[in-house]
Amino acid sequence: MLAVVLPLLLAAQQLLMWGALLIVWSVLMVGVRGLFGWFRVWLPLSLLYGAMLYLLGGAHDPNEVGLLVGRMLTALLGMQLLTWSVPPSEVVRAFEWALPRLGVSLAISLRLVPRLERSAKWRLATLEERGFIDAEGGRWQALRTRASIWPGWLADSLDHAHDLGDAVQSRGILAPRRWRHGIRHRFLQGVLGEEVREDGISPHRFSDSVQLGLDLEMRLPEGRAIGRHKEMLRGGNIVLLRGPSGCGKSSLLRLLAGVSPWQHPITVHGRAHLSGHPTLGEVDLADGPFSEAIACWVPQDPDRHGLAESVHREFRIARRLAGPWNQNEMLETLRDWGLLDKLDSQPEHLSDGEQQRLLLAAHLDPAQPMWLLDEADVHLDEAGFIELGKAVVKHRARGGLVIVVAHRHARWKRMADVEIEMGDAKPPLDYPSVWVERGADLALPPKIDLFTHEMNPVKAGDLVLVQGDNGTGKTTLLSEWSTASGLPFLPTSPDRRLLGMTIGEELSLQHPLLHEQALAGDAVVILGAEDLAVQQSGLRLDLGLSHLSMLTPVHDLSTGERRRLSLIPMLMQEPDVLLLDEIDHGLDDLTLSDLFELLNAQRQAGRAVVISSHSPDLLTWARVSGGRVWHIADGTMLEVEA
Amino acid sequence: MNLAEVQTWAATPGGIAVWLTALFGLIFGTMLWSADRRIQMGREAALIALLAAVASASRVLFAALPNVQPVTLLILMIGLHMGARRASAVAMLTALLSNMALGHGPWTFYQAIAWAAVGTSAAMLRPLLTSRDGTEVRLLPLAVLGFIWGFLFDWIVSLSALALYQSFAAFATFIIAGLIFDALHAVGNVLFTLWLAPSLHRLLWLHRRHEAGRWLPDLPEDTLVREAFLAGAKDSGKAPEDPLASIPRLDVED
Repeated sequence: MLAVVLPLLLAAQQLLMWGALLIVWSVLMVGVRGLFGWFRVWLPLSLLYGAMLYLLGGAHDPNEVGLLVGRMLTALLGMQLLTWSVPPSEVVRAFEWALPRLGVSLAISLRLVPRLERSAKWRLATLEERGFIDAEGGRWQALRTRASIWPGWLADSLDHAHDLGDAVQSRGILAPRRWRHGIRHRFLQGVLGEEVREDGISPHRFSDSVQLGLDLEMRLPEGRAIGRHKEMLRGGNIVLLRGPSGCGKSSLLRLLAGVSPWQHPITVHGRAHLSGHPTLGEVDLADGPFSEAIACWVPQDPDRHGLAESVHREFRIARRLAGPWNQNEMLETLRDWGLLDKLDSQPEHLSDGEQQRLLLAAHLDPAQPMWLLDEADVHLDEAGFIELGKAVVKHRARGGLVIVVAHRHARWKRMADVEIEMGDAKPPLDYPSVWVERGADLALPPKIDLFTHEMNPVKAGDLVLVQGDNGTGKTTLLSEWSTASGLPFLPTSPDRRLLGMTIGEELSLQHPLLHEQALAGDAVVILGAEDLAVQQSGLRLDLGLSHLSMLTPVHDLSTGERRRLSLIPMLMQEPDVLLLDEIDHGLDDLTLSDLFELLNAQRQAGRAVVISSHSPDLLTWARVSGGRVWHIADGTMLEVEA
Repeated sequence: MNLAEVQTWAATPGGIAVWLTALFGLIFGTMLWSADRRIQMGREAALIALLAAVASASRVLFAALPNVQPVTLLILMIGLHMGARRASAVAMLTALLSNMALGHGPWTFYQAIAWAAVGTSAAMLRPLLTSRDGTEVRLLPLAVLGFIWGFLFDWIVSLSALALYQSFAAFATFIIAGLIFDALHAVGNVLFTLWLAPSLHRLLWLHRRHEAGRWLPDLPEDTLVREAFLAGAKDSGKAPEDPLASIPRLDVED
């Protein structure tokens, strides 16, 4: 406001001095070329309006016109200088200080803007992959198709905003900042040049005080129960929750994290009570939502729950409310999790595994008595899982309670003290194996910048498992392979391949002919559309999705269901090679077994399957199915013994 | 400078520009503070962030088309669904965010306040803009409101030009020269209403549906009955009776 008002109040000489100061400041900020670029736009416009003022009688004296033009230019430069001098992250920090809740909103907005852009690009790329862009029908048809994805794009964004909001809520970020209370102490430390420690709750031994009592049932709007829990869980234990997809494991964890309202309109009957919270003491979860964090919750899909625009700031935001810490401790933690060299990276430029490590490094809060880990190990390599295991065991030793949800529970079983089976207990399954004779060469993996390789081509009937540590380039290999050869690629996050807002819309957008049929209505018969619809229906049945209503919003489905839905168009295309990234994520044993059977059938039909994964289960499946294993390490990809 | 001189100066274009900018700046600050106090939930903060991000991205995306952008419609819809204060929060964040890319100026305050007024008008006219049960949006009244705001919004933002040009004559010229752009904004709002309003309404409605979760202290009656039955059977040391036991089975040989 001052930048605008001040030039209007100054006389000519003072204005000149103020203008000179702004010019010097601008040169320091953006250099002469940047300032010249600004003047090139605004000087002609200002002169034009000066001429208008003179000609229309707004000012009669040329000196007066010059003064008015000068004032306008100075005011504009003042505002521009604010934009140049204060980077967006500083604007957010200023907001967080004065208006904390809007500051959080602004931080999320800054994170969402590039994400929205990327989400639109994924959708357009998906349309292209499915043959929509090349479809005949002219520019109008192409425009109409492109426009049809926007509700799905916005629905996905809305869902992402819900995820971010849940992250904010569960971490207590909207609560008043603690260190304000110690501002004098902090100021004194700063003046005396002492190491400034962010205040917070000191982590301590929880002894026997932590207890979680559950006597509740969750029900969907139609009355179907999705989880009955009657347990007393005590601190000093690691509890492994198991059960099929959709049985309510993640919903229970959300409930315990104090995340309310729900992803679905769920009604909770009964009581849940936590004792031993360091600041709240006894917590009746029905009293939520809480402004403070009541548990440390690490949800699925790390790319949807990070808040800040850099690794450094994500850590700062996370630890602002956690225990006392300083910069050195942050650097040590990041080093332990293998993220030290990513300190200033933007989270969206990290691999899924690195994002998961960041989420764990920043948000595993030792001051919270209850840790809730929802498929937290899915993207982690062995080193990452060992780090997570160390943190979990340490928390158990402190007397904390750790509740883990995992579909691939082989790694957790060795640590878990209590196992709770939700839903109908299923006997352990053997994954279906089939030996397929290898046929002709189909494709050769491309050369990429991240590593070198001299691999043999992929042959018909091949099963290839790509393994390697986080960030070695497994996903990059698959995505660049897809770009280079035009092969369809299924990324880890199913949302990158889902276009519709409801299941009905999504199914119609899975093939150009199906979309054309949906637009034309039932009265018109599009040649070939019916055969495709039958094929699609068969795949839905095979993937266990035929029971879902067409009107169900896509984002109401579980991660596993969305993953299977996004696989259908790929199978409909019948490509030579299927490129699948972390295909087992979010799938229970039974569903995964069905999926393996489907992939085996693809191999028998002469196609090849290439999967990237960290899962030991998939490695076992590859071994018994005659698969090949490609391992990436030290900048080289080699074929190793399966 | 005595009071009379101040009064005279305050009526000049330069004086008006100063007090108008200061006044709008104060209103802007007060509304930010009020919106900040209003946000209670994480999801609310995130939703406001998302809508501001969508509005900003769409404004930048359509920057090549003069004065055609869907922000006014978005804020109308937000006002309609979420009320005036949240719409104001989105309006202010949108002005701040989008001008990070397009350039800040005195117009930032004016845009924020004009968009806040857009959201407020939609919130106040809700009965006119939606069906009686709130499930359908009425396109015609919404398009008319969008058309009117196409002009009104631009005129409010044009007040910032007074701060820059400090002349009534230049300001009048500015307004007349801008009428064609105001008309483009108004027509753009109508087209965006026809294209985007139904699905936006559906999405925001879905969001409100997600808020419908609740927590009841008592367990459902049928669960209690079932568990009492199972507990009774366990205590008596025998398995619960098979309710189909008395029905003869046809698939079993004698």
